[in-house]
Amino acid sequence: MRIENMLIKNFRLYKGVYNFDFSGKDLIVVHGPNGNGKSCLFDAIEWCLTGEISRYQGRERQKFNYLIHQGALEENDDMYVELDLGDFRVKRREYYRRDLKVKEIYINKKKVQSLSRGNNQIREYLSRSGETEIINNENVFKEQFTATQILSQDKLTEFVHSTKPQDRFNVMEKILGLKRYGVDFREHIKSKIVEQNENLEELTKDLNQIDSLLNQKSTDLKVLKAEIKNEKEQIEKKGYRDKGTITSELNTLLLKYDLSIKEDLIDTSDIFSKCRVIISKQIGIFKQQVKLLESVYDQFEVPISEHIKTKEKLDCELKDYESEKVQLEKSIESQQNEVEEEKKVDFLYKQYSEKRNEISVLSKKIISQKKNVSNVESLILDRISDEFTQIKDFESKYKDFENLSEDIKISKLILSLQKKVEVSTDKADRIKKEINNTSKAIELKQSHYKKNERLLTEITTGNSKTILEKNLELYEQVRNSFGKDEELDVCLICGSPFADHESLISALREQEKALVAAIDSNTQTIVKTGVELKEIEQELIQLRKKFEQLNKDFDSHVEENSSNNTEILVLNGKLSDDIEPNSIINQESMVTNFIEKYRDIYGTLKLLDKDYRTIEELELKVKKLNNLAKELQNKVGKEIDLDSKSQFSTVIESMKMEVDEKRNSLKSLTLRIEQIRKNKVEVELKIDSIEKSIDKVKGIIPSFSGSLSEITFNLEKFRDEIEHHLEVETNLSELIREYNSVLSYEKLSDLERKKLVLDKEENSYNAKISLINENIKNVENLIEDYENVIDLSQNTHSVLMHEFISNYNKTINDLYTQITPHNYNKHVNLIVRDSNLYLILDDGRSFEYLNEDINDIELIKLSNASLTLSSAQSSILAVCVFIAMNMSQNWTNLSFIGIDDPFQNMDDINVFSFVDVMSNVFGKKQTMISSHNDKFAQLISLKSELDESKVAIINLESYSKNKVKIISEIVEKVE
Amino acid sequence: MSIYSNLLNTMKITDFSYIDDIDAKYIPLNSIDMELYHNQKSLVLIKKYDNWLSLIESWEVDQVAILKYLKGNPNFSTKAYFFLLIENLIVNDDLNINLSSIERNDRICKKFIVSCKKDLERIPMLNKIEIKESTDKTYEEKFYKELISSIESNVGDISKDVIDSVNRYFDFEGVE
Repeated sequence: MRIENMLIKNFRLYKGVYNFDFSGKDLIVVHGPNGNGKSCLFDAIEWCLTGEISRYQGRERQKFNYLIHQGALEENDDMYVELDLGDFRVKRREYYRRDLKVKEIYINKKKVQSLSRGNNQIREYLSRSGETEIINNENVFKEQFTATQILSQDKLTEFVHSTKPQDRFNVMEKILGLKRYGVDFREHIKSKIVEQNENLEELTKDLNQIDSLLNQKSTDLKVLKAEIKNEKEQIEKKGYRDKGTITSELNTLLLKYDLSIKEDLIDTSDIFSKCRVIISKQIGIFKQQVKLLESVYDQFEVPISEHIKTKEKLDCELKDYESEKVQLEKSIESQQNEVEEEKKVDFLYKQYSEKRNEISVLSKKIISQKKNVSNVESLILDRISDEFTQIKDFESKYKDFENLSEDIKISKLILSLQKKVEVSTDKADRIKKEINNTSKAIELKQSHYKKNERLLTEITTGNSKTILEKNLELYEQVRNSFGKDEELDVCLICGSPFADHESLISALREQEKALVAAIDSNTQTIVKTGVELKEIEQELIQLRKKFEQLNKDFDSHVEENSSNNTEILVLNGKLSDDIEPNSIINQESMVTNFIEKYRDIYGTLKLLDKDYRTIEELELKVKKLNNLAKELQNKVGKEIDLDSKSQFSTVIESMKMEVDEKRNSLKSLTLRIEQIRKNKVEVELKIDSIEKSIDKVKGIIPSFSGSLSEITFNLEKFRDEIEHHLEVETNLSELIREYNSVLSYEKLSDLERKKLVLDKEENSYNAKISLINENIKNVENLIEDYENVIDLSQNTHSVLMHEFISNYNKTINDLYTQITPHNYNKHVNLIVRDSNLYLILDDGRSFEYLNEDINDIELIKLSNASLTLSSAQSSILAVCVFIAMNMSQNWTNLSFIGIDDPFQNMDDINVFSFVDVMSNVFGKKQTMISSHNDKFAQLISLKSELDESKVAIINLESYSKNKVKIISEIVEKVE
Repeated sequence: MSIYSNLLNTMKITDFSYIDDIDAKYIPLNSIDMELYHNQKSLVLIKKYDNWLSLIESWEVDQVAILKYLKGNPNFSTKAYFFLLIENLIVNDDLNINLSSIERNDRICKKFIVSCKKDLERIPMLNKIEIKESTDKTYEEKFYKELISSIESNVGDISKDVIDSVNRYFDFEGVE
């Protein structure tokens, strides 16, 4: 039985209806990039036949709708997968009706009444006869299908990612479809344990509640027993006195406090407690009075009159000292003023002395300076004695000559500039004339140019050229067209008659020649005029350049003249008044000689001016200092003796010492006054406190006068009162206890009755507790049993899994050896022990002695020694296990194997070997295999060794929201 | 004339034909003592090496010769298997790495190093794995019986509730 056809509608990625025609196909290769819907095709087959997709079991996604295409769901469309298995056609359909999901199964186009009946029919059809358990048990059927028909990518990935023996066991459990006997079974039993634990909790709660009640009753009973015991002891101890005697004795005592009891009164506690309170209160009052008197006792050891006397004495002392202090302060102030005065005078003496010294120094400088000046003046007079008798005359004449020399220099400059202006003006005039000439030449040339230009335009663009040429063409055409017409003797152009045809032709030729000559003459004129135009153009350029240059030169001369004239005006302003430049030029040599002769003398004279000024400044300073000295003298008010400085210092020092001594006296006097004030305050406080204490004592002893003897007397009195009341209290307690004993005897029988009731209740609670404890034990045993079942199921599952895998071990190893590309560790052995799956890799030798008796330590050692599997090795191993399972299974009539992209982790060489191994399967079973890699897909079909007609290729190229783009001969989108 | 013909039976290469008329442009195949056999499905190239050193030194050169042949015979391009025969190979770790890298080499064709009969078992085309159909009882039946027997022998006086719970799991749960 094979899948002949698959029809899917709105299933997951596939929107709309797609028909997959698998009839006659042994190998179906699905390829396309990841996420394009390869796995969906495997899901569709699994879902249609089992109603579930095992790779989504137990996942969060299961809660949502992941089967119907989202777009179809929004359009409220239905979803189905229909498989044609030859003589059996099954269709599973789902849709929503008013938010309720409707599930339907159709067998051979007929809707089956219920889902479970439909599933039963599918199981019956797919399973071989005799497989009753698979037919009857849906879970077993699903497991078998998952384990043997389709290997999903998820299972592969999980196996690749599990590295610990425990994890590998769990994944292998899934691959083999045996989860139901492992983790699922344990979960089932665990849920029972949870239920029993809840029972246990409830029972424990009840037990605690009853236990707490029992504890309460036991406590009550204990208290009651103690009470009974106590009552009995009291009765035995005191004997039994007459109740009337005790009442009379009590009343005698109570009367003192205005209280009494009657003989038949049962509850006397109120009266007794009142009496006790009164006695305690009395004792308390006396105790307080004693406390007060004890606290003030010390204060009255010295009489209050003594303290008042001390205070008066201190007042007198304070007055005397304060008067002494005032006098001392005045004396210090007066002496301090004197010291300040002496200090000021001392300061003025110092200043005066400094000024006098400065005057002395400056006077010496003035004398020296004047001496120098006098020497230089006599030297100068010697030099000028030929022409001058006075230095002043010389100086005046020299200055005049210096001025004259300056005027001469300026005059020379003015004359030179005037000459330049004249020359430049001449040049400018000449340039102006030339500019005018050039301008005229340009105009002439321009007119010449325009004329030639016009001529050229007429020739080149005018009608003359066009007409001549057109005429020539016309003549040529006429001659060529009608030249052979020998009868023609009239010109077709102008209508002139000719003698014969030849004359006409000859005339036409002549006319053509004339036209050609005219065209040639024009051409020559154009060339000549063109050349001339170019020459004129060049000349015009030259003339314009010259014109520009001349204008520049002219402007330069005008500018130069303007600048020179301005300078002449400036220089004339610098000349002395009324001087004509020409008139003083001739004095130049005389002036120059004089200046040269006396230049050094005049220089020396100039230097003397500085000395004069210095002397004047010094004299002015001396004058100012003298004035200052006089002012200081006036301030001092007496003749200043510059040696008297030391006397001032001694006087000031001695006065300062005197002031300091007086200050010290004042300080000690102030301290003394402070001390007296402090003592006075202390005495006043003491007096105040004693007065307050007297008031307090008067509160309890109104006649109190303040003597210590009164306090001593009353203290004794109050202490006696306290002792008396304590004795009364003891007597009362004794009588009350005796009175209560009599009453207790009467109560004893009541207590015994209560005890009996409590005993009964305690027994009842104890019985309940025993019952609950028994229940708890039962539940605990049940939990233990469940836990044992978990352990035993795990062991049983482990042993059976080991047996199960052992059956396939050889096949798995054979497959693995052929696919793995490693030269070493190319054999694999799978051993299950205690819910662990150990993978032993080696070169094959170990398999000879590996058996069930191998101990755990050796097994772990061997497993650890095997290298950790690479992703490729893990993938290969998982695929080998699945192929072994598929090929050996015999539960179903369906001859199918589906492997969803086993190549994710494999390299080319793995794929090559894998395909070689798979060629065992191709042909025997209908094989559906997918790959994300186009190259691998191509390789599978090439190496399958199957006839092309038996191989189907489905290329899932791309997909969009509403369409999956499929390139395949066997797939059709049904519109 | 085949020089390896006596080896073929040992290698179970029985339904293959010897190719003795190799085109002149593939002369290197002859000169390097490589022999070719084919059937409808596959092309087998066999060469015997004197020792492992000569194998390691010359296998790549031999592979180039195979490539030339496959270029001229593209029908065999995905169906060529190169058997590198070597006798008395004592494998050590270093040698293992070298030999493994040859078999792992995924270029031109699949390669198998054959030094003993055991190596032949790894060659899919010579070893069609026969998988027998399982005659086992279903796992569920076995598991249930084993578990109950284990409980009876290990736990002894077990609560009826527990047995009921196990029975319910296998008899009733999951069945619609």
